[in-house]
Amino acid sequence: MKTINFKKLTFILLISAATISSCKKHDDDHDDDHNHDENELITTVAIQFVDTISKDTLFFNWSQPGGPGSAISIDTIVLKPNVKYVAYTSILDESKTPVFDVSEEIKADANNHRFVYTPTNANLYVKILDFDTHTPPIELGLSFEASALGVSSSTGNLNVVLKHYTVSSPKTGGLGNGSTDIEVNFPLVIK
Amino acid sequence: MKQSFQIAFTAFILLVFSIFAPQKTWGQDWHSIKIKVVDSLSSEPLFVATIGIDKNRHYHISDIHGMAMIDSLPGNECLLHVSYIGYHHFDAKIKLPLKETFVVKLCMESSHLHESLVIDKGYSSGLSNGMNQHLSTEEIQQRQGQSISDLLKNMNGITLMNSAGGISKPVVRGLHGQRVVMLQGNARMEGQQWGDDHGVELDPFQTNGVDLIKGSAAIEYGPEAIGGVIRVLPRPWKSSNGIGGTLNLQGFSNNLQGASSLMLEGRIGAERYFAWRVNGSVRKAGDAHAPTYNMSNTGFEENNQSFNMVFGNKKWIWETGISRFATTQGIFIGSHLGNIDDLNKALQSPEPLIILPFTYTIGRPYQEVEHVLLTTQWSIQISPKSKFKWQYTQQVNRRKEYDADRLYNQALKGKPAMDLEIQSFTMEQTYERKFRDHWAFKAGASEMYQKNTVAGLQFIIPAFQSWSVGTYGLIRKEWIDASLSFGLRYDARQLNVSRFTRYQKSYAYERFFNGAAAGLTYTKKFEHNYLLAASLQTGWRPPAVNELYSYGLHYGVASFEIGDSLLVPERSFMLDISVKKNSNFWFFELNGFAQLFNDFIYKNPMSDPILTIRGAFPAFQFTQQNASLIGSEASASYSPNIAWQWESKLSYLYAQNLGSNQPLLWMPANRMENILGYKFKDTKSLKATSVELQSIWVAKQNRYVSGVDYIDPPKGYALINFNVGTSFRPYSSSKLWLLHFSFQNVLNQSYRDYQSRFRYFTNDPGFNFIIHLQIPFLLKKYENNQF
Repeated sequence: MKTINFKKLTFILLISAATISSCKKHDDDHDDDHNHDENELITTVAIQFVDTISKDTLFFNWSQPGGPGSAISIDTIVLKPNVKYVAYTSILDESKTPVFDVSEEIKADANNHRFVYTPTNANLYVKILDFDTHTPPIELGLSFEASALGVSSSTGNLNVVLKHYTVSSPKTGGLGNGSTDIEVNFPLVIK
Repeated sequence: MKQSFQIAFTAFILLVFSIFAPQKTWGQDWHSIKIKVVDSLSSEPLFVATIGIDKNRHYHISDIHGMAMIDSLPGNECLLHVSYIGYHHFDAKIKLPLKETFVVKLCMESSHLHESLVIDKGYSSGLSNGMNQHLSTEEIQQRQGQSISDLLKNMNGITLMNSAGGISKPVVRGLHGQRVVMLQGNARMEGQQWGDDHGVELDPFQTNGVDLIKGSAAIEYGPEAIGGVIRVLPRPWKSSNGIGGTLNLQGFSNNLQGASSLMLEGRIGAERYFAWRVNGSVRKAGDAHAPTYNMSNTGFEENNQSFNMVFGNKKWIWETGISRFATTQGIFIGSHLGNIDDLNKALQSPEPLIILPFTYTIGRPYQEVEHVLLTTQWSIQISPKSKFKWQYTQQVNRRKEYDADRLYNQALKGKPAMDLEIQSFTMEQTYERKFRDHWAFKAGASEMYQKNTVAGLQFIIPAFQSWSVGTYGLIRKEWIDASLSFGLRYDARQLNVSRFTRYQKSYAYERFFNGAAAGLTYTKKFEHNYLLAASLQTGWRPPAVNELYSYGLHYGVASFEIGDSLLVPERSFMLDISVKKNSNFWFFELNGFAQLFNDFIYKNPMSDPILTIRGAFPAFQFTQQNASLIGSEASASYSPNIAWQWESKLSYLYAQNLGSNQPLLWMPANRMENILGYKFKDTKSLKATSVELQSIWVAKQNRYVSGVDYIDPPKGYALINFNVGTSFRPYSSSKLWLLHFSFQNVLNQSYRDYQSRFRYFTNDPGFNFIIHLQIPFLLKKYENNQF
């Protein structure tokens, strides 16, 4: 084989190496000075109770605007005994401007969500009013009926859970399926 | 129960050997050869050079006249490998019988420039000679697995941290992540190695050997090498002119995985030469399978490419390479849970809560990783006794994690939860010089700039930039049978975290770290082939960005991690002693170490869970305390004749948090491995046929703090593996094809390893049948063959 012209080869190789090393990767997607506000955050569970007799509306919020680990402000739910209330739950991201209402998204994806309201130490009777589009329909829970029966006063707790289901762990499999997206506790006083 | 099994197995091996006591079982001609090892320039004999024959697994040592006699060699040829500290190693094929003494001329490293890529033992790394461990090409061919970590676990002292599926990372004597440096050839890999579920971005097909430096190698490799260095060696350059290559085909039964790689390489020239290599590989796997159920969403796919070339002559060598590693890894579906109640439900279930039928489809959650590395280096022979090397490496590591779909804001759909990109630019300079009376000196400097950008929906770590400089000096003196080396190093690092907002609060940080490291190593060869090495080292490590500033949910195990921005660097003091002995039939090695840490950084479980809108989560706070890690590794092998070999390995670790006087959590359990191997006679069609029975016994980790982890460590387990290998020529003009079968977990044992991150939810994989075919080929051959 003929002797290789090493000078020419060296020249070609140096040029190609220079080309390779000057290739910079695109990093226009990543700007470290830009604050990424676009993160998903749910800060507030807001439940509105409407007294079906007096038509008064009571607002109770569970809110952690600073994100996980920060201060939580919880309103104590105070309801009158022997009165039927209709309640509406909203889930909000109050860290954004304007406030982002997640409830609409939950309603749109009703087949994969379910609210569960569990009162303890207080005689509160809960009946879910809205359902999803399964056959037969399964509860959703963005609106419910609540009434405190029997005793004239008590102090307890209302546990609110939002379960999220997926194709691999579906809603039709029962409460044991899915994972917990929200779990908060409101102090509950009937008086 | 496991212990009695181990005893029975050992008794069986001893019984077998008492029957096949040192005998020539093959009844064919036996040859002996005489070797003389000398210096190529002065012709002086080299005392205690290490001589290896491929047919024996252990070594012979040359005497004061440079002579060695090796007998009991069968067949008509053997492969000879000779090495000596400070010299280039020597490989040759010898035809038997050999009438005269075979003279081996070794070249001093400084007098002849060879490529910096290391092929096998004989590499002088200054301080850590005698402490190194090596995984050879042959062992790699026998133990090929699905990832680079599968190869690394064969080395005593390395265990694996697994995240079901294809993700695993090596743990050296209990330390991993930011305490272990991984080198791809000579280039240091920089990525997000702090993550427990961040695997190693290296292609196992391109691995030709592995060097392991256990314990502090901080002097030459910088602060992050405080736990050790794993150097993955690529294939050496083609040694004869022409173009050839290798095709690899691999199949796995457990996750129905197929993998293939094609390598082409060429070389032209004589004293001035040019060589190149191009590599491409692909891998596709479905879900892994535990003995009684499918581990859903643990499939993965990978594609890698690389191109390397070298240009050299007598005075200098210039090597350049670019490589890309890309993978998409499914993350076990049972792992991304809601809150502590969901976690408790999963813990109480003996099987994963979600088990779906087998599929290749990778769904959420999953990881996407890409690592591109460009490296170029110049080695220049300044004078016969001195050499200079300059290296530049540029790399980018991109990691995206997509969590289980729980988004409410549809505008954010499709965005990853974590999106990190780290770019690293490194330059290294090294100068080596030999003096009279066997003194050698090595000095080096390194500079690195890193830029980490952050996107994604969840906060994990902030974006940062860092600048690091380091400089070191090493001095070594060699005698006929001993060596002493001393090194000093200084490093400084500036870390800037640019202003970022999290939950409406704004943060910015600036830290400066610096420190010195020092080390002293002594090796001595005694009569009857005993080798002793002792090393005393001190090093330091600055805290990593995740240890300082992380704040967020880790879906992997439903836990919340919080950094501590006031952490100070760790300081370690290490004593490492090793003893090796060689004889014709026996070999043993015993290593013992004690590493004392001041301000060891670790995750401490917090007593109260963190409250979030999703409920309560167990929380872990990064903190630091003094700690000690004490342990040992032992290995022994016995080979009564050419055919039979028995090998045994043991490793032990004691890790204690000295501040709280409790065990350090999540440390590897003690383990023992036994291998019984048999090599068959070569026949006309099948050569180098061997079978191997391997038993691995892992104890239960009894050193833990009860109540702190979600569940107690799993019980110990034993696994049996069986390997068969052979090589053959399908047609007369072909090269030797290699075929290996491996039967892993032959008994389909159900077990959970303590270092499996998902041991809370699922068993580890069951039986796996691996087939590997390696086809080397030659496309063109040019004249002027040998260099």
